[in-house]
Amino acid sequence: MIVFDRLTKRYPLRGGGHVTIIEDFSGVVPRNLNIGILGRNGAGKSTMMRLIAGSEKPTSGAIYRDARISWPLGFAGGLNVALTGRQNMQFIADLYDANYQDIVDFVEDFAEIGRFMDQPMGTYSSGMRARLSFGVCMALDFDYYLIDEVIGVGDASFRQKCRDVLDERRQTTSVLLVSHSSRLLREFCDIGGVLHDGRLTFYDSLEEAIEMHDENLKVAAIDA
Amino acid sequence: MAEIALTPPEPEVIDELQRRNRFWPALVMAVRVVNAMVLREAITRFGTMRIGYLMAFIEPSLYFIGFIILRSFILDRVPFGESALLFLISGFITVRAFIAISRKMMYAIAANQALMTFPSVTPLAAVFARGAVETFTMCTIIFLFYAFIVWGADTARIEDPVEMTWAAMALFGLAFGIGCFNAVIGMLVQTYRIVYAMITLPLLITSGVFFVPTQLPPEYQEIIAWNPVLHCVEWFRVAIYMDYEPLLSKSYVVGFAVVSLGLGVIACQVFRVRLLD
Repeated sequence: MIVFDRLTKRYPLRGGGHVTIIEDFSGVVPRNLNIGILGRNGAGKSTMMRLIAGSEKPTSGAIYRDARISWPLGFAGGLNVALTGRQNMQFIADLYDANYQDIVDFVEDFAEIGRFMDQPMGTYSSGMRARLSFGVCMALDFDYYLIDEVIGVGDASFRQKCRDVLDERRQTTSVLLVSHSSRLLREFCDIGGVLHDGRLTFYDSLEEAIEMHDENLKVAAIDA
Repeated sequence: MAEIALTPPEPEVIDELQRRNRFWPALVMAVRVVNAMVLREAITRFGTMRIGYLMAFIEPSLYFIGFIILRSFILDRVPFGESALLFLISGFITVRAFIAISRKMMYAIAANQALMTFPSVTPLAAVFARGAVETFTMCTIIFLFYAFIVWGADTARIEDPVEMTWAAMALFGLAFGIGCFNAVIGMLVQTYRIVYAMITLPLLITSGVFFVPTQLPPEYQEIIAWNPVLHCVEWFRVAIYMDYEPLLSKSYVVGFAVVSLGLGVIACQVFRVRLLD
């Protein structure tokens, strides 16, 4: 499980003042529940992911992780474009103390990028990159997968594949997905939350969360 | 709208989670991360072919040859000892190693930023990994240089190999410490990198590569004594020659290394978030 204990995160702004990403949030994220968090651009979704992953430290409060948590799976980062797919997998295997061959076997099957495995990742299309990074992440046995929109890159068959893998492991793993698109939430999540103005609010149905999010977007559009 | 709250954590649960010893797992993790980063650094630094390792040696060798040619126009007298080559190597390779390590480390964080998506890959891990690779590389190169000259020329011999090991450790400590400082400050203040590149030449000139520092007038000695790399060069010469009179303060080198490393590590933690992207 992941436990939030009065979590607060603020960023100082240049020239005084600060932005509050989240304030005084407590809660337990159980396993076997796929959670989606919506928020408009700049609401702090990616920061939330980095806090949960442990890349960033809270301003106050704490997050306790009693589980293996993936790195935030996003568009950018994690993979070195100068190295080949295989070399990147070797690095991740070293980093997570995993068996390299197991990862390769899984990814070859999952990503279906064939000979590109031995090409520098700089030559990959964004779809191929997403397939590989998602594949590597799935090859490692995490309890929680932090997904930062990356599934949105792929086509329908890729998303279906991701769903199949996640569905298969439903008993043992959970997904924490952040997005500004409600489509991904409907595809992957059980409950939804909205991150807005430093408050993370969960709703008992996905549709309510999506409605609230759309409301926030409209207000933002009027403000602008 | 029906808002729901995630179950708030129970106090006992938090107590239990807080009590866990996180030191050992964190240490094991840190070692694993640096190890993985070192392997990755080595691939990007040298490539997967052997020619990459050879290039790492050829590059300073070419510099050195150019340097000897240049010097033959300036001086023809051996500043100290019987072997001109040995004297020049004692200065040149020391300064070269220092500059190579401290400059490569300056870009350690910038070059590895994409990897900081992995929560365990911290800026400090990137600095240590690159520092380890560069230090190991330069250590090998220094060893090869001295090995070639000692076995190749009869007039060149090293008086005190143990002292030389200490000198090398001081040099690497200094380069690593300043490299760590450079890595962090270079990220925070971009112009620092240009400034550092600009001071490399004066650093080289005042390190006593071409001359014996104690033969300079005292007022010049006072100025160049601020250069910590000079002390490293002198430390090497003390180990090489039997009766070399050095301008050397060992505590200055060690102190400089410790302080710069300390500042670098602290700055790395304080500005952690700014270093991530």
